[in-house]
This record gives sequence, structure tokens and C-alpha cells, in this order.
Amino acid sequence: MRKILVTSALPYANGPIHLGHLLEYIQTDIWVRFQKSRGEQCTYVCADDAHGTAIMLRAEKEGITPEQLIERISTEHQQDFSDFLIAFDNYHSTHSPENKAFSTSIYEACLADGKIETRRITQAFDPEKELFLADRFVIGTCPKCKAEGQYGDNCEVCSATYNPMDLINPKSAISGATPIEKDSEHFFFKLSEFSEFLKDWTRSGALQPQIANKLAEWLDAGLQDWDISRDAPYFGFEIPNQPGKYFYVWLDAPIGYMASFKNLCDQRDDLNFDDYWKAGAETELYHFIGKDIVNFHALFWPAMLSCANYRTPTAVHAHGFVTVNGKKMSKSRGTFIKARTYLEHLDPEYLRYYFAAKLTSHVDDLDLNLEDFAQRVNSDLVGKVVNIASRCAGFITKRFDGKLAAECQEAELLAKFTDAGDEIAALYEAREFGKAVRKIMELADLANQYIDEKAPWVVAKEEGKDAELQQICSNGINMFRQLLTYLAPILPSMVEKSEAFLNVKLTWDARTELLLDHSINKFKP
Amino acid sequence: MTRVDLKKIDVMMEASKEAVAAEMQLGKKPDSEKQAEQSNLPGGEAIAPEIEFDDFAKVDLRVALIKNAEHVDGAKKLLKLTLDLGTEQKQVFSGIKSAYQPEDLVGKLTVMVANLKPRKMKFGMSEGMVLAAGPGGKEIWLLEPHEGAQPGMRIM
Repeated sequence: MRKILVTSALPYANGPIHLGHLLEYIQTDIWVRFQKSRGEQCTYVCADDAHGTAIMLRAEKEGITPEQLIERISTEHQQDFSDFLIAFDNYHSTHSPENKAFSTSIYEACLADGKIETRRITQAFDPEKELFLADRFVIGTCPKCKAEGQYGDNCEVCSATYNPMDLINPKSAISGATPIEKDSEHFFFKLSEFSEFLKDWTRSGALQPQIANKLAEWLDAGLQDWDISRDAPYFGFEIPNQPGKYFYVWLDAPIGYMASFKNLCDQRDDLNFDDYWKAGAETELYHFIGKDIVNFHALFWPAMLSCANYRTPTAVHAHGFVTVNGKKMSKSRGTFIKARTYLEHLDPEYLRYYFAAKLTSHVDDLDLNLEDFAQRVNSDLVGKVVNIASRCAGFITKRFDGKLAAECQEAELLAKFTDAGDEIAALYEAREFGKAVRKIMELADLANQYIDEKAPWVVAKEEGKDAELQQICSNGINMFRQLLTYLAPILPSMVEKSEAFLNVKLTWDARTELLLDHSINKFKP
Repeated sequence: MTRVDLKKIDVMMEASKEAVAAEMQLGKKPDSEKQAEQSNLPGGEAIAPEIEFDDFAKVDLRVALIKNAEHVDGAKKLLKLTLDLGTEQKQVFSGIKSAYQPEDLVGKLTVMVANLKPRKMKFGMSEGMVLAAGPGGKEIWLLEPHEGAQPGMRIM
């Protein structure tokens, strides 16, 4: 039995889950459910990412404390995930005692190793709110093309990059005040000293080739040290012995994976923290993330872990973005779909299936084309898979008292279904869900073809052909059972209903034993 | 599993647009005067979207005694109210000048939102709001609890 720890990126606790987020959680959940259905010890943890200026400001705007805000959002996030059938083994928060302890000890280990240094930096400062402003919190006119309303890091019109104070007529996005420049001491993690380590690690097979190539460009250009501190006021963890200085949210966010897992270990006897995190641990550790946060997970994170004498991830799996009808999800275009809005109108398993059918192991974007979505779900799941059971179950229930035939006279055909399991498993394992789905649908076509040829509805009307009818329908039901076993990681709720119908537990290994002389229950499509 | 209903996809897309529009609306400051003009029928405004009980329970409504009410120099619409909640007093600027004289209010009980975040106004801090019905102008009616209610009592 493999021991696997899996994470999805931590959603930020200042807004709702939308369909763009869900691609990642659905992808991860399918992979985890696949591992579990194969009998592996696979643990899936996540948490809300609860720190930072944006959360502090949002709470202030709502007139509540950040703690109240993150508690409310966490409840909303967990409800959305649970309704999309995402089955975390633990869901925690980065604003937790475990995370504070790990963040502190990792920082202290890096400090002791001489990998932290302080520097004075000059930053935009909002004199009214008395707050340092991140680049995105300064808005003004682009110094190059004179486009108005641009952020302080780059111009969305002419793509020029600049410092926030270079903007013409810069304003604080928070108060509207004109920012001033102010000095402050910041803490830096000396990432540049990890260049050699990271050149090896990024080529160790832990990353998709596309990602490793991208990172190689940065590594060749030379790594910058990483600013890991923010000045008060800030919602986060104060740096030990440095009053008024806080860990930047991105320092403690990935540590949140450890914290969530530790929190789970404290509740369970069968999980040992060190087995999964100690340097040299032989268990597997996978992070599923979006392509936009690769630098945090594939550079900063392994460097910090190795410096603090923890293991590094077995692999980081990045995915692309979701587009809707071919375009970037956008509020103004009306294609920004919240998880909750979707759930109010549509079945979560439709989306799970559609994403699975289009997912690859690569980093490409995935388009949710709503017409294709409906067509695909209707033709594959309803038209092909459910149809098999619909056409066979009634006869078994009505004519044979719910009993399947005692032997199978189509062993060769059924063997095609059971044998395909190894190939399908390999595709799931490699996160080639789209290919796995295609393979499963080929089998569904085969099953429907068989039923079409045998036409049980004709046989049913002929005298003395009861045994033949039972044979045909039993074969159909057995094929349906194989298909549902393969679809189980994608469609947990449909599988649960099918298990009740088939009167058997659908696990990967059990599939090789056909259902013979076995009682089934009434089929409800 | 049943077929995807195409109509439901359309409804979901519409609902998504509305959700975004509602969010944008939230970001804007309400213009009470404009709203008053738009709906001069009693109850002419549509009922707001459904909320959870917990959302309602966040609003702390209290019986308040109007200890004092006075005109504010330079303010055309506002009266300054001193509200007694039994244990503490709060100062509230309320846009009810067009409908009430200060002397008509002093000594009466009313209903206030006691946990509204204090807001800095041109004439000072406003530490809550009193509840009133009506579209505005002369047609503003302050809420008053039945006799027997005491200042500071929570209203649920």
C-alpha cells in the first residue's frame, strides 16, 4: 500500500469559490478518490488561506474583525466544496496555532542557517491609512502611454513595467490619498543561494516539462531574494522578536499544508506527521496548483523545506485556467460563475464529468463551452452509460425476481471490460483523465452495441427464451458495473446510487469478479 | 442521472450576471434621494433577495430613547440625535429633518441599529442609525415601539 499525501492550493478567504477554482479541486479529488478506490492510503488536506492586506481591508470595510471574516468565508468555502463532492480528509486554516508554530520554526531554521537577511527598502505609503501599499494598491496614469487607471506594477494597455511611484498622479486604491515614499526594514529569504539546488530539483522529475522549462528561464537569469516580511498593520503572524513585522502571506500559505496535515494527525492514530514530512521520508507528497502560483511552489517552497530540513514534494502538478465559451472568465462579460450559483441550477456531477473529460496532465487552459457541456453529459452519461442499465434492469427485476444469471456465456466480451481496467488505471494515475474517459466511453459503446444486437426487448416477447433474456440482461448489467467502477472517482454520487442498485461495493479490485447469481435492486435512473 | 436541461444553463448564466451586478451595486454608496424619487408608491420597491436568519441576526436592533434632538449648523437634511440605550448613549445623524422638528422627538422611544460601524460624517461621528419608513421628504415615519419597551432592549 502506498502512502500518499495530496493537497490543493489554499483558496483565499476574501471571496467565494467560482468555477475557475473548482477545476483544481475536482482534478485533485478525482485523483485522490482513484487512489483510495485502489486501496492506497491517500490523504487529502486543504485549508483557507486567511492572511494578508486584502483580508484585513475587506473585514474593515464590512465592519467586522478579520477573524470573523475568515470564519464566515471558511464555512462558505467548505459548503461549496462539500456540495461539489470534494472529499477532503481535513480542511483547516492558515490562521491556526499549528501554522504559527511551523511558520515560526521554519523561519528560525532558515535564520539559523544564515538564509535570512534584512534590508531597507523604499515603498509607497498611504499617509492617511498609515499603511504600506503593495504595487497593486497604487493606481494612476501610465508614465509611458498615459493610460489612466493603471496599477502600480505594470500597464494593462501598453504592458510597460514601472515602480508605483513612477505613475503620474498616483493614488492609494484604499483611501484615494496621494502616496508618499517611505523606508522600512524588510526581511529577505536568500533564494539566490539555492540556485544550484533548484536547478537540480526542478529537473528531478517533480515538475511537468513545460513548467520546468519556464523555471529554467528564471533560474538562468538568476534568482532574486524573496521579500518575506510586511509591516504592521497586517493580518498575519508576527515575526519572532520583530515587533511590527509580519510574515508575508505567501510565506505561511504553503506551510498551511503541513499545518492542516498536523491537525489531522492529531485526530488520527494511523497517520504520523514525520512519515510524510521529515527529510528523506519515503511517502509521496503531491501539490495540485494553478499555473499562476508555480514560482511559490516550485522555487520558494522546496528551498524553504530543504533549508528547514523537511522533505520536498514528490511532484507539483500544475493545471491551466478555466475559460468560459472560449473567453477568460469575466465579471463584465457575465461569465464569472460562482460555485453557489451553479449549484442552485445544475448537478455538480455534470461539471465533474465535463472537467474530467477535458483534463490532461498538461498545463493548457480548459474551456467550459456550455453547449458542448450539455451535449457531452447528455450523450455520454445519460445516452450511453445510464441507458445500459435502463435497457436491462427492468427485465431482471420483473421477469427474474431481481436475480442475475448464474453463469456468463460472453466471457470474452466481459474480459474486455475487466482487462481495460489496467490501462484506465494507468491513465488516472498519470492525470490523463480525458483519455481515461474516452477509453471508458469506448467500452460503453461496446456495451450498447451488444444490447442493440441482442435486442432483449424482442427476445422478451418470444416464448421459451427466458434463459437467453436473463443472459443478455445480466451481461448488460455486468458491463454497466464495470463502467461505473471506472467512473467512480469522477461521479461519487452516481456510484453510490449504483451501488445500491447493484447491491455490491464498486472497488477497483472487486471488478474482476462478475456478478453471477446475484440479486440486484430496482433501477432508478 | 438525468439529462442536462439547457434552459437551466441559461438561467444559471443569467443568475451569474445578476450576482455580479448585485455585487457591483453593493460597492456603490446608496443614493437615498434618488431611490426615493424612483419609488414614490408605498412599498413600491421590490422585496430584497432572501437572506439567512444568521444574516439578519447580525443586525443588532435596540430600543432607544431620544434624549436630545437638535438642528445641525449648515446641514440641510440632518438632525443630530442623542440616543440612550440604558447603558450607553450614542450620537446619530439622521436625514429626517424634512419630516420632524427636534422638539417633537425628544423623550420618544425609537428603534436603532446599535452595531452599525461608526461613520465619520461632515459634522461628526454617526454611531448608528434610526429606523424609519417612507420614500423621503415629508413622508418619513420613524418607528416607535409599543408602550412598555425599555431603552436598550434588543429587538428580534
